[in-house]
Amino acid sequence: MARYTLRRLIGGVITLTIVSVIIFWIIELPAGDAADIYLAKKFQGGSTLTLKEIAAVRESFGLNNPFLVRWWDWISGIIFHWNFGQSLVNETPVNKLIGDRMLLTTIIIFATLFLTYALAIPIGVYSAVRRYSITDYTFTGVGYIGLALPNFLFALILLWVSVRYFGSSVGGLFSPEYKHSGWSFAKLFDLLRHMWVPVIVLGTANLAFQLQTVRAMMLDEINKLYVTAARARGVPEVRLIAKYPVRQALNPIISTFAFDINRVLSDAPVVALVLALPELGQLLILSLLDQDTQVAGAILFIMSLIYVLGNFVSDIVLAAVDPRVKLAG
Amino acid sequence: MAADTLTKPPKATLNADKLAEATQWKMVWTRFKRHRLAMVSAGILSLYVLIVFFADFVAPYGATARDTNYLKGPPELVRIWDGGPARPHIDSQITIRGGVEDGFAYSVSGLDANEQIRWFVHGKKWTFLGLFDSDFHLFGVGDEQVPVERQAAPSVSSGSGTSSSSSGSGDAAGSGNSAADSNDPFASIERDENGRLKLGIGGATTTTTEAVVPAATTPPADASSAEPAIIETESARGFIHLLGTDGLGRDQFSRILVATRTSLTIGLAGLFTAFVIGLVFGGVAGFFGGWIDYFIQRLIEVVRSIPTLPLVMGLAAAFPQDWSNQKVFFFTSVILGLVGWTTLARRIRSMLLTLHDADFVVAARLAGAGPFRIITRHMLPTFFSYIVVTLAIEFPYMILAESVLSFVGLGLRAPTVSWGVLLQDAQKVEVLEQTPWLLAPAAFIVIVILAFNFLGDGLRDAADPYQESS
Repeated sequence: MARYTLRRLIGGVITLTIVSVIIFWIIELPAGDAADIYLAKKFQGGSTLTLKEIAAVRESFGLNNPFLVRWWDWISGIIFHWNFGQSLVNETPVNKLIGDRMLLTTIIIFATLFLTYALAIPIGVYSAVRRYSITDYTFTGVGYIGLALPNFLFALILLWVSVRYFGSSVGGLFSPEYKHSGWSFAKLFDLLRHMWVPVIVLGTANLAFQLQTVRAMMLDEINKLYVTAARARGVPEVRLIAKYPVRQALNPIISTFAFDINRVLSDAPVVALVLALPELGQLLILSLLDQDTQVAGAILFIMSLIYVLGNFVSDIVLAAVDPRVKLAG
Repeated sequence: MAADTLTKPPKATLNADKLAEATQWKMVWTRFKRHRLAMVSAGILSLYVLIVFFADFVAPYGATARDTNYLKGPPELVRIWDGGPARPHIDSQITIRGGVEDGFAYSVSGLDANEQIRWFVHGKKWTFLGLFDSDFHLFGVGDEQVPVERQAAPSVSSGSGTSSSSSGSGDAAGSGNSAADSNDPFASIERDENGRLKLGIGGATTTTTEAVVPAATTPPADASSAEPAIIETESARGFIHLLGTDGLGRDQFSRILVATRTSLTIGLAGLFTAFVIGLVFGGVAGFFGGWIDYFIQRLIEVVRSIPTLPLVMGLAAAFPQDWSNQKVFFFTSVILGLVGWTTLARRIRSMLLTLHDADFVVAARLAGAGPFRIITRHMLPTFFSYIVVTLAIEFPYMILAESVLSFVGLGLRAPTVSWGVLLQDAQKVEVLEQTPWLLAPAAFIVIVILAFNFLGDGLRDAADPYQESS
């Protein structure tokens, strides 16, 4: 087990390293680098600049170094000091812009996944046990719509309904009075009151997907001989279902845990933009619209980090839960 | 997966003898036909394909044409009943504009020659794939899309409120349209013989000349000046807006059709790019195996480690502002392909790996068939259907990615119309509140995604040669 964990850990680190190279390449992709933007800002008035001065600025920004050296400067700052550098557009540190957005994003992800599993597992199991019942048809139908309704459209529609029929917008994560205050129980409570909208919006598609997975897995398992054998031994039905096929049906949920994180991370930015949520994804889009790739790159990296960590945890948990997982892999 | 719950367990449509000698494609088709939802979806999708080719023909107007008399106008219902069965027509619209209450519309139901829906009318010129020109459009109202002056209806004056000075000359001008029968749409509205229209709203009665374009006619001097100036105009004749108009008076229905073409085309281009990359990488990995396979697997893992949509956005943000729309279009689809190839590559790889040791492939190899023959005669027919299925499942993601990208403002840009660009207008709460019909493109997106999901399910079940035939 320790060997397996170590291998997975090393694999994750290698993946993250290559990911960081790609992200750094994206940071430098737009025309005009940090020095250009800096100079354009500094000399907006139209004073003349000698080529020598420009070269000096470029040198001081380290832009004359080879790509890999520039990358190392960037990534070592993150690894050793958790420092993402300066925003290209306004001269604030990226860390300050990110603030507690990372925490909010993490909270949203976990709340969404919690909701997804808390609903998908019981409903999926029920649908499979009572196959072709009205409940089954209803949830399967709702599931299809959940899969087909893109998150940002769902958010837009909710927004419209809330404004049209309830007279207040469902946007935001905090009431005005808590927006800038420090963390407190009152603020946490306020967050919970606002968070259900994005959580439902983000959770629906995932719920639909997991519902189908659990149901399909249950249907596969429920007719197997070990279930029949247990029934023949006289194990009560509820206990039988919970102990045998459900245990099997949960494995794909654990193994797709990281995939779910990825999906929520992928969908969250647009939803956050529509609902004006002060979290990472919203800042990502806003900074990309400003061509502030330094901020955007930092966020992309954090998102990938969250995903790779989730993947690692899901691998370990799956190996612990399901003894059939080959520990050599 | 779940399609089986929605369609009843199928019945075989071919009898056993015929099934035994049917070709592969015939069997696939037979199985596919049993999926009612998949068949319906296929029908809906062929409508979308028709739109892709004939958007300009079906759309009554161009994507940028403006009807300045009907800004932020709600969708117009097509009526086939007007006190009795009537030819399809839309309500006459009177747009009332005032300093305060802008865009407040008053609608009068009535059959008027110019509000009748006509088939195959002349309109804006369009070109079909650069092959031929035409100015025919499927439908429209009125003969031309030029505002037509209406004949003034005889006045039904009961004389409440102020009345305008009658110069007595009017009336003769209008000749063509005889709406003045018992069904007169304006019977309830006061008019004087000059064709001036009086309309009582909340006690305020003002008059104005019968409107042509432009909308903003000034009220006559003798209008009651105590009330805020409400100007009544009739919207231009000969425009139909099935799904309303946006803030610039552009016809939402026409724009959605044109957007459908853009979005589906770009989705297809992205899918094609992804397919080519996925085929190369997946094929190489699956066919050669070994360290190449390992390397490609790691590469796929890396690409998948960065959340998809943020990655697409990050790449698209690098588009220079001065790029032409064609260039943005092209590179958007390239990006979609660059990010979306991993699923395809994985499926192709695993398919090839399974086939590599399949009995019939081993048999062919032992019988002395060369690699080319094995690939083309034995492997390809087996996994071709899987590729089709995979493509059908992947396509909605491409469409969605483009919509999201354009929606947030990083993809296609304004003069180009795509679903995402259209929805961009609906991003603000205030806009949504005033003009909820701007959400209409959402319905088109949801329907196409649903249809592709069902089609994918149907194809997957149909293509599975090991499915037990009942």
